[in-house]
Formats: sequence, structure tokens, C-alpha cells
Amino acid sequence: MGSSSRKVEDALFYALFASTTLIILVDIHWIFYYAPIERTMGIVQKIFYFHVPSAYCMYLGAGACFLGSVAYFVSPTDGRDAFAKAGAETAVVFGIIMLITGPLWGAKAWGRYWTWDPRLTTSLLSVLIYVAYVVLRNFAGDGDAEKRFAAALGVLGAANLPIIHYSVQKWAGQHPVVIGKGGGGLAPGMYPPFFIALGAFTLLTVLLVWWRTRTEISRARLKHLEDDALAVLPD
Amino acid sequence: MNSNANAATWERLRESLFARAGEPAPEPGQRSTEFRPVEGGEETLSGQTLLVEAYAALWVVLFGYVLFSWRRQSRINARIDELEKALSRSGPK
Repeated sequence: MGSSSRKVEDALFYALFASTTLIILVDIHWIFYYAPIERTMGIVQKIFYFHVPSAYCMYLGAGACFLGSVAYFVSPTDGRDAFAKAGAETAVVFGIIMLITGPLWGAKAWGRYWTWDPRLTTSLLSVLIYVAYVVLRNFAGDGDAEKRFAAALGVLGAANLPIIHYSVQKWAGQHPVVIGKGGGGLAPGMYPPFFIALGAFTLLTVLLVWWRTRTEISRARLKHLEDDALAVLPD
Repeated sequence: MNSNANAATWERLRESLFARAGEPAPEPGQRSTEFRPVEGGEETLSGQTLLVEAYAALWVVLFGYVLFSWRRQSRINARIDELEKALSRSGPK
């Protein structure tokens, strides 16, 4: 990559960072000052505005991991491997946020932090799959076999995502269905902060995946350079 | 001053420990056998507290990840510096 294109990429990255920060600040203001308080649950329902976007961003990260893994199988490159790894890490980060905020909301709404509801259980399983991926990549070395094994996990891990999505429709459970098929919808005043949150979290996911992909590509290039240098340097 | 305060603390501790020492133990039938909530009492879990905890968790996890990534980036930069030094040492004088 040339120096000028790298500068353009850096400028784009910082512009995206600034936009994401601004949108998050606007959204926090909107959530707490303008969004109505839910009738039965009260103020704790405002967890919804980042619990649902976190779950959605876990899907995005997992999707990136899936795409990177499939692409790596088709033609193995450091960039594709880095993209899959960045996607898995982002899926874990947002999955952990989802698994913390959901039970805190449930403590008030259901009177308990956790229940083995189909959506909760399948979500936990998915986060554990991506935790396994990240642990594998960080502790099992950087060999081709490890990368291929991780890519297989990245492809197979995505199989659980539709199960999470359709679990609330196929099996009984406590997890609410408000938006989408079978849901009663939100109050009109709840839509703007929710959509802003979805947008902000999407930008945040893009930022994190981009940043981590760049770092991992740099690390891979550095490793190749170190190997080359070891071959030519005297000691 | 300090010894007076210690004596007062010791006295309070002694009273709380031994005030009911002479009383007979309660009969087995008088023991609690179940726990019931206060009727119409306030809820023990505050929605506001849970909301603040959830927001705090969100930012702690995000900042933790950014910090972790930042440290990885720093390690890569340090390795690049080392490589540059090694190359400049072995290069033409």
C-alpha cells in the first residue's frame, strides 16, 4: 500500500471515529432526555437501547468472521485471516456486553438474572464458540494448520446464528419479541433513539473490525519481515 | 483520648456479645421456617441502579477491549523499532 493511500485510509478511519463518538453522544442524550419511560418496567427498559444493538453487533462480528474464514479457505491470505480474527474478537466483545446487560434487565423484568430460555441459551453458546476461537488464535500459535482449524470454527460457529434468531419463534420462552414478526412494536418515541443506537453500534463495529484487522495484518507482515531478517542478519 | 475511645468501643462490643447471654435459647418451634416478603414494601432491586450498572459494564468492556488492542499495537511498534535497529546495525557503515 502506498503512502498516499495509507494517509487516505487513516483520514477515513479518524473521520469514522469522530462520527461514531458524536452519534453515541447524541444517542445517550436522546435516550435519557427524550425517550419515554416504559409503563410496566420503568427506567430499566432503557437497557434495551444498547442490549439489542449489542446482540446485533455480535451477529455482525460473527458474520465478518464467517466471511473471512470462507475467504481464507478459498484463498489463504494474511488479510482474510486477520479479518476473520477481528470479527471473532468483536463478536466476543459485543456478546459479553449482551450477556451482562440482558441479565441486569431481566433481574427487574423477570425477577431473575438468568433463565435457560432458548434464545439466552443459544446466545451463550454462540459467545462461547467465539471465545473458543479467540483463545485458539491467541494460544495455539500462528501456523497454517491452526489458521485453517480456526477458519473451520469460524464457518461452523455461524451456523448457530440463525438458530438464535428463530429460537423465539420456534420454541416457547421468556425472551420478549417486540420488534419484527410477532412483536407489538415500540412506542413512537422509542424508535429514534433505537435506530440511532443501531447506527452508532454498527459504526463502532466497523471501527473495531477495521482497527483490529489492520493491527493483525501489520503483525503478520512484521513476522514475515523478522523471519527474512533472521535469515540475512549475522546474529 | 485514644484509650477512652478504645474503652468505649470495647464496652459496646462486650454489651452486644453478652447482653443476652443469660436468656434461654428459643424453642425449636419458634425458629423461622420460611421467608416472606413485606406486603406492599419497596422493591429491593432499583431499576436506576441496574441501568447504571448496565451502562458501566458496556463502557468497561469496550474500554477494556480498546486498551487490550492498544497494548498489542504498542508491542508491534516495539518489535518494529527493534527490527529497524537490528537492520541499521548490520547495514553499510
